[in-house]
Amino acid sequence: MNLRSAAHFLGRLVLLVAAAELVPMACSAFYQEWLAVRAFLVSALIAALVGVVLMRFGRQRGEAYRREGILVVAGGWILASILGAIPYILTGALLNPMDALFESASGFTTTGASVMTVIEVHGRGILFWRSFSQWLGGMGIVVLFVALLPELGPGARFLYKLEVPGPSAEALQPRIRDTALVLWKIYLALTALETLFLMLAGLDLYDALTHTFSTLSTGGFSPRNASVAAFGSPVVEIIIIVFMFLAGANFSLYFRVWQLKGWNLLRDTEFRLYTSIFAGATAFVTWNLLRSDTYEHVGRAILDSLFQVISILTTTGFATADFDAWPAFSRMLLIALFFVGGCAGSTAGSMKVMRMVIGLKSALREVRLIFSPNSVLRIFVSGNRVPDSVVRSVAGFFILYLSTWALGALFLSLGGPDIITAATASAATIGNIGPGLGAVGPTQNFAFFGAADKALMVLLMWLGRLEIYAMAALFLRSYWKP
Amino acid sequence: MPVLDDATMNTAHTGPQKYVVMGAGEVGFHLARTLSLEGHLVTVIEINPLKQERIDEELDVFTVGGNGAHPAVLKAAGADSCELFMAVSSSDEANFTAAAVAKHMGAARTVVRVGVAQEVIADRRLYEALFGVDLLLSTELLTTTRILNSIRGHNTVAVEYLAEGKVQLRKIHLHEDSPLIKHRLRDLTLPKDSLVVALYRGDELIIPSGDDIALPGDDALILGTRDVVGQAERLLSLGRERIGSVVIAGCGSTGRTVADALERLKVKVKIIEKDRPRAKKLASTYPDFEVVHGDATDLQLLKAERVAGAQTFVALTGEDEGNLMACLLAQELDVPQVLALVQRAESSKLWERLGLLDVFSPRALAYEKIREYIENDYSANIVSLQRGAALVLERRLAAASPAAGVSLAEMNPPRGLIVGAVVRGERVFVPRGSDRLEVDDLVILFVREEEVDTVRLLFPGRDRT
Repeated sequence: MNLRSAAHFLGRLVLLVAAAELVPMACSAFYQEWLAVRAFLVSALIAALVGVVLMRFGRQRGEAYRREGILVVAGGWILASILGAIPYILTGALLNPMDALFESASGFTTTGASVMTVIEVHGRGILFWRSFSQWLGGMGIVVLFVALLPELGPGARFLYKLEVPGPSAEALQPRIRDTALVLWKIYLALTALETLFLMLAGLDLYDALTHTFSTLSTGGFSPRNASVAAFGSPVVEIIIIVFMFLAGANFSLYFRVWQLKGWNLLRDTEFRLYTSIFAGATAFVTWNLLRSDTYEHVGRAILDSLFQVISILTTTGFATADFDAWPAFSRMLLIALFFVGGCAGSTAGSMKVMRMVIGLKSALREVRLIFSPNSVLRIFVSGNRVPDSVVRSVAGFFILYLSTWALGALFLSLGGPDIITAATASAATIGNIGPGLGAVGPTQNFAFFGAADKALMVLLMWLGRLEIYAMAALFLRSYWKP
Repeated sequence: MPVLDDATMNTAHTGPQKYVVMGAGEVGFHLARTLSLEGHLVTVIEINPLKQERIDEELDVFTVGGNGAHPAVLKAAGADSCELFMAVSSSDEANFTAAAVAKHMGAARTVVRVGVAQEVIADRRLYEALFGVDLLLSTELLTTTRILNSIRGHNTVAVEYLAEGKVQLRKIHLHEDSPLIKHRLRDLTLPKDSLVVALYRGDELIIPSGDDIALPGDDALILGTRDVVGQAERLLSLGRERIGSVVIAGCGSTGRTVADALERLKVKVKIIEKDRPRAKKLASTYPDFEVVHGDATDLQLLKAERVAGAQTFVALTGEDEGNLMACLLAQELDVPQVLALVQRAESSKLWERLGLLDVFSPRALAYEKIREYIENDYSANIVSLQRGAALVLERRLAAASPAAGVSLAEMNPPRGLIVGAVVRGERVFVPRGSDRLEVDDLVILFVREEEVDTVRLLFPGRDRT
């Protein structure tokens, strides 16, 4: 393996993280939190030092192949999480390094699970960093890296594909850098739009920005204890519902709509299914909530169902209601949604609707092959044939994802929480969702877990964010010793 | 005086350009690779899913799977708005069809590569007009040119074919007693339809006028129609630069093109051909050549046929392995010049280590030619002399041209500009002072860098129509 070449790219990526840490520093300075300013400055300097050392050790020479690419992407996420944890420690928000790492990884991977028991006591700067790291991780730090550095060369394409491995990661432009730029421009435009709407709905710039960051990245961190419910405003909730829905759809669809005017979103199979799941699950939950007399007010029931369903489906994890107190059917439905996730090419986590589509179609094909073994059946999605290699990769993904989740739940149950807590904590971290049910429900937090449990969940978050494969490769002996 | 049209100026390109490459073979892959590394927007069309995947993985380009001859595929690849469409797949027919459709859709220019296609090149204009091709390349013709240049042992332009090979350029070394050194150019009687177009003196390049005299040690660049250029060469070099005998191992289609050219040069040629019926046929096609039936990778045969006495050994069999083997044997026999044709030319360093200094690949030649075409702002058939100090241009005379209907004497071209040859329909001639240029003539011009603007004034329009 060409370690020096990988180190070179990692070093540059880390410098990007160092630069990112200057943004919350500005925020702290604005609110005159001078201790936090110093903490961010020191953190940024440490990150910059690591970056420079890596670049010094590394050299952009020789050919970088797949192994090096995997190391850059997986290592990049690990390093970003570790270096991003330093501000939590230095500002005194989270003194335990494991807690800080959990919070930081939960931020970058847009999970949104928190170990902070009370949130509002912390400084505005550090809470801004929490949301901002989600925004960076939402579109992907490697995608940003590719967009910002023109001289990455053909290797950029491979890096990009490792971070955006969804089954429909088609390029929008001939050059991958242009694709990354287009995606970031869409992301920025949506960010500006949501911030504007939230401010019009009465939020101040700080609340509007931080909530926009964690909506569009489908992260779910809120600088408020009560999350979005804190505002008590149905308008704010509706705005956030709409933007969560947009963030959970494939971003390349927006590019197409923009490019080919009048292009119909509903022509896309995945988008159609995504919308149907959203509508169907909301209808069932509303019906269940009203029938079980959990809610009296119909409008409130609909709004809370809409909000909770899209929040879980897109793996955001915002809450406006304590859905852990909902009847069993609604809770079960939400647990099922833990495993769906948004569309491929969105900022959402979990397994992705596209994989569901391909997985279901290939399973149905197997059923048909039982009674007509000689028929040649091809899988089509939105009129395009899905290559067998993709079908294979989806099947492998299902197995790895579910077995990792099960092993994670098994390990967490060792510590003694109830089955629901262990199972949903594992699902909520590998799916980058955030809150689960039971002791990790929407009004609870992850602080009570032991250090080993937290370390495991950090790993689950990384695995989930890179959609297993790139991160899992690091655990194979044959990866290190060809 | 016509106003200069901006579009004809072909100004330097700014920013990334859109290119579409059809066929991800050797030529296509390397074109896509270099163009994308230069930051251009490249789309590759490839019919074979495995090759498409490879491109997708290794290059920063957009790939489209499918047959490039289909309009839907071309549309998906953005061929309708590309700067240059390059049809370089292995199928000649698909290349022509794709280029025609792409041109019709709106591609600015098209390049078509054909493989074994002497016939196509002979009727080049027809094909170009029919399929909207701006640059038609035959890998075979490129290979032949390359081989002849090597055989003649000149370093820059040795033989260059212009106007579909009807006109040739040759560079010759001038000895002390060459007539060109004794007489002024004006007083020298060269065969009709031949001309001295340039003199090389050290690093200097002179486009001579009638009063110039060459010095001993100069090289002269002469131009002539195919039939007389050899005659002119012999006159000026006093027959000193005779080419030694050549052995061609394996005489298929490329071999025959080379043999044809060598026959015109009156070179002694020995052909070794493995296939008996083909050997018989060759013997009757080239009565002056010695044709041997046998395997060129057989050392005993090579010894028995006294290959060691030849000046040049060229291996042109269909197999890379055979060619390399035969060349290594020829090398062993101390043949001074050994040329090997290899389809896969990627490991050129390896050949060097084997001692084979002159290994070339037809695909690499096609690739270079297309690169040159792009770098020269899409001017076909430009030969650059002495690193751009002078250019050879082909221009089609438009009706609006001030040169139309004017005799050369009346036009009085400036020093540094020579009208070398005129192609009028089937006729090719080197014009004299009294000859008039007509609309639709294809003129071959020799221009010093400084006079390129004059050419734009006198011969407006694109380099090719």
